[in-house]
Amino acid sequence: MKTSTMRTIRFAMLLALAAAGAALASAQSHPSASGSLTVLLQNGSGLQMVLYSDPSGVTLGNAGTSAASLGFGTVGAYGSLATNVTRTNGASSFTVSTPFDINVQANGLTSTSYTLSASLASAAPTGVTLQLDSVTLTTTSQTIQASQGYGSNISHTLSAIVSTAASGSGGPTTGTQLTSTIDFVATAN
Amino acid sequence: MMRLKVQHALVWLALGAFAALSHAQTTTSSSLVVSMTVQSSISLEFVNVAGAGTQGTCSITGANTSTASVNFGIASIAGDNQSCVSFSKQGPNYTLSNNIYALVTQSNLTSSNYSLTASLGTAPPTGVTWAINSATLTTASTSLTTAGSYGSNYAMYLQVTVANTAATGNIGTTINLTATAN
Repeated sequence: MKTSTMRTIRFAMLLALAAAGAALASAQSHPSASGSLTVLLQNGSGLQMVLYSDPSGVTLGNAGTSAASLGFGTVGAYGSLATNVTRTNGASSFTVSTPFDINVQANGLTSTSYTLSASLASAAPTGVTLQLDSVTLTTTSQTIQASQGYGSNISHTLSAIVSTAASGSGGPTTGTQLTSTIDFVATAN
Repeated sequence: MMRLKVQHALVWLALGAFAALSHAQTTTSSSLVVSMTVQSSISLEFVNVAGAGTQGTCSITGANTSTASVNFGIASIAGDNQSCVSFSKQGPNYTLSNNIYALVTQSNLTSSNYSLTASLGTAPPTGVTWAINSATLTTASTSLTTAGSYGSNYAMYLQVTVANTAATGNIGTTINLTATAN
């Protein structure tokens, strides 16, 4: 082989080595890495109770929550009442009523129904008896509904039986707002 | 050593199961604040006299409400076409009479009785005089009682006297009653 040919081959090999070195250097200037993330999530079981206004009832305050309010407004044995408040007059009392809705949702439970109970946070005002679906409410928990399915608005009727006696004679205080808090508990069956 | 590891694993498994069970929520609660303001009130309604329909006790329309009516029919010096109306003549004049009850009830009041007044909705035509329990009625308020008893029928003897000078035609009237707690 001629000397010139040998030089040409040697030069070509040098070029090839130089190119390979450049490629290697280029790869090292764009490093990459990989990883994996494991997400932990546990779907628990739960119940949620929400109070809603009934289409035929008074509009609740904070409707759509679990801490709502219901105002009967100004009531009397005679005279006008707030919209969607009905009244019946008895011999020594009158009763004002209005419906509202309770919706209990469940997830992660095998239960298909719940038991609803209710109690008063404190004794009802003098001369006033509160009833839920005809069950007289006290500070002791009372069962209102034993087997109700989940997920739909269930109408309940709240009634206040008001004595017609005068204040101080067993009747309610007049002219001032009387309040009571009803505590509800829904328990999965 | 291997046995100890198995025991540890079993303990952790039991603890995990217990935690999962205790985490299961099977009750929920809510609260509803109920409010009302009780006001004193009083009611007046018209009530039929027992045996309504017989003479002197015409049945009223709208009994047991506060807006009632009674039909005295068509009358003249010759009489009245309603048999339930009591009719009497005084010379050229005639008088129709009828018994009606007013029932006043109260709620959440310390009042022990009420006052009852009556007035005519409009002045009567000339020659026509309305009276309840002998008290002549005008468009001004006239006292019927100052000590009515709640829950007891208050008897009203309603009379209208028509003079022969009164114009023919409709001479009916509206009588407004007002009960006020004493």
